[in-house]
Amino acid sequence: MSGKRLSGKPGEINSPVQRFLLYFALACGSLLMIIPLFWMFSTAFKKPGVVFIQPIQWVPKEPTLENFRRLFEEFGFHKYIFNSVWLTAVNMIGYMASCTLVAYAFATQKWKYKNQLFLLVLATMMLPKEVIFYPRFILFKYLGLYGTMAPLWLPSLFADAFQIFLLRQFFLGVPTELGEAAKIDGCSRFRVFWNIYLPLSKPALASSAIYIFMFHWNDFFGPLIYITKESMRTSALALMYLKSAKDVLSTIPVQMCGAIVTAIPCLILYYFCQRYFVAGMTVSKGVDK
Amino acid sequence: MPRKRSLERGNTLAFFAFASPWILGFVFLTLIPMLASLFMSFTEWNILSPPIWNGLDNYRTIFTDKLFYKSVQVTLIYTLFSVPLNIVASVFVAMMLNTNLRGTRVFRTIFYLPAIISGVVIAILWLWIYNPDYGIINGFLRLLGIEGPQWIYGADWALPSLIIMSLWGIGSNMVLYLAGLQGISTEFYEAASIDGAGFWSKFFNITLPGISPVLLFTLLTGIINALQTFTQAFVMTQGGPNNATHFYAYYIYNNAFQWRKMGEACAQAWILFIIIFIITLIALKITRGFIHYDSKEGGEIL
Repeated sequence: MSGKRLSGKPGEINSPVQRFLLYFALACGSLLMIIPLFWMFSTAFKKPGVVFIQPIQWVPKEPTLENFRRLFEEFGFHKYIFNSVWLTAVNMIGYMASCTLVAYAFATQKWKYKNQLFLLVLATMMLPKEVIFYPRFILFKYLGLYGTMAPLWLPSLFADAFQIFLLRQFFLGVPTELGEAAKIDGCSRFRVFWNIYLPLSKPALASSAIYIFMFHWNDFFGPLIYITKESMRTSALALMYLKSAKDVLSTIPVQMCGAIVTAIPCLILYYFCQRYFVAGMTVSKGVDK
Repeated sequence: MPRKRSLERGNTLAFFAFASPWILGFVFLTLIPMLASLFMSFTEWNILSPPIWNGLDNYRTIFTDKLFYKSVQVTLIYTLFSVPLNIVASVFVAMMLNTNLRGTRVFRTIFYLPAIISGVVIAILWLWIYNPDYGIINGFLRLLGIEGPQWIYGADWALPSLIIMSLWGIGSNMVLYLAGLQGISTEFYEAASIDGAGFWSKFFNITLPGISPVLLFTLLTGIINALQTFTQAFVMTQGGPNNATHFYAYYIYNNAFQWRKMGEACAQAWILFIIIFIITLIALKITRGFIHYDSKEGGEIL
């Protein structure tokens, strides 16, 4: 696959045959990745009966926006989108506030057993969600919060181990002299955090924010457990109910519209913030040591 | 002396002030609920009326329950196939993209696209892709004159179908490997070439050790996630056909919310926790010695 004799560098490909084979393999792989998405988009514009025509119409002969109209008018999908937007926004604000503060504590503040406590933070990342979720459900039920949105955003005020880890790594890279100097000038610890650490950490904050967005926009298990009223459903949850609508077969195109509408914010975000997507994930490779 | 002590106390106070969100969250949203669930696992509880202590009854029921063993089996088979296949495929693609070819950026985006999309969207999409009558896979096979299998609707094919589907998401691992590959110094490869090392020799002696920390990370997170597979079973197959996709996490959910056996569900969650803990330990033990950390990176956590 890579150059055998001609060059030592990895992945330097000079022979045309190798280059052709590689392009061929990549093109085949890409097709496998793209075809399901393409089908999703083309189906969303098909008239209901056209879905069943064999062989498959890859480009609908009579494209229609009727399915999108049904999605919003008949199934009221805009409500669910609004719920998702609202819930994701609250979670982003909550997690960003709590995680940066805690990460700042672990990166800069002093306490004898700080490192031991940090190991505990890391250990909680390994807990399977089942062990946390069912007990939390019991807790929220006792607090009388079952059936409200609170269980879905309240935890954001109490930080998340993974984000603490990522932000702490970044804060550790900020030269300590900056904070010390500001302290001598009479800045409080919070001012150092607010005026020095946060502005210097914009890339890390962006990565974190994107991660939180992706997680909560796409979250399915949380809403499934806590949301009891139809009007409170998030778009991911509503999509599931769209599938269990009565005349399932005739709503395939509408389901694909719902899938597109749910996926589009993530695709747009990826298009504009690509480098932050990857940045957040590269830091994560240091997690298990 | 007193000044120093008060300074230290001030530091400690500041630490706790800033760390308080996590500390409070850990105590009230993790520790106490976990202990509560351990207690619940020894009770019979239908959520509506107060729990009744029944000792080890839940565990006894679980370990004599055929469906429990079936769901453990389904989950382990899925993990055993989907995780390694996913890693091999994504290392392969990452290596193809870590070349001097033009257009690798475009390919990278294409391979990453499915990883951006949420679990439910993927489940709904593949539900119809796998449709034996109108789905695109069987539609394509029909063009070749082959009558395709029943996919997620057939007891034999349902689990393999979900494993194949999981490979659609190789993009998330692929970008990690790509970053790892780009972090390997080219000097190693140059030196190896001068010594006459071939492709496979370089692959096993430079490439794999170079990305071994990422491999370990993706292996562990892959295993943990696969053992908790839920959405596919819930949205696509409802555990069927004939319990062929009755995943463990799906079983816990049904116990808790469909059949109102919260006590048993808590016991099952704890069993899952122990299984995950043991598997993680085994994975760490087996890979010890194979993981190569740069001096720059190693042990940097604390």
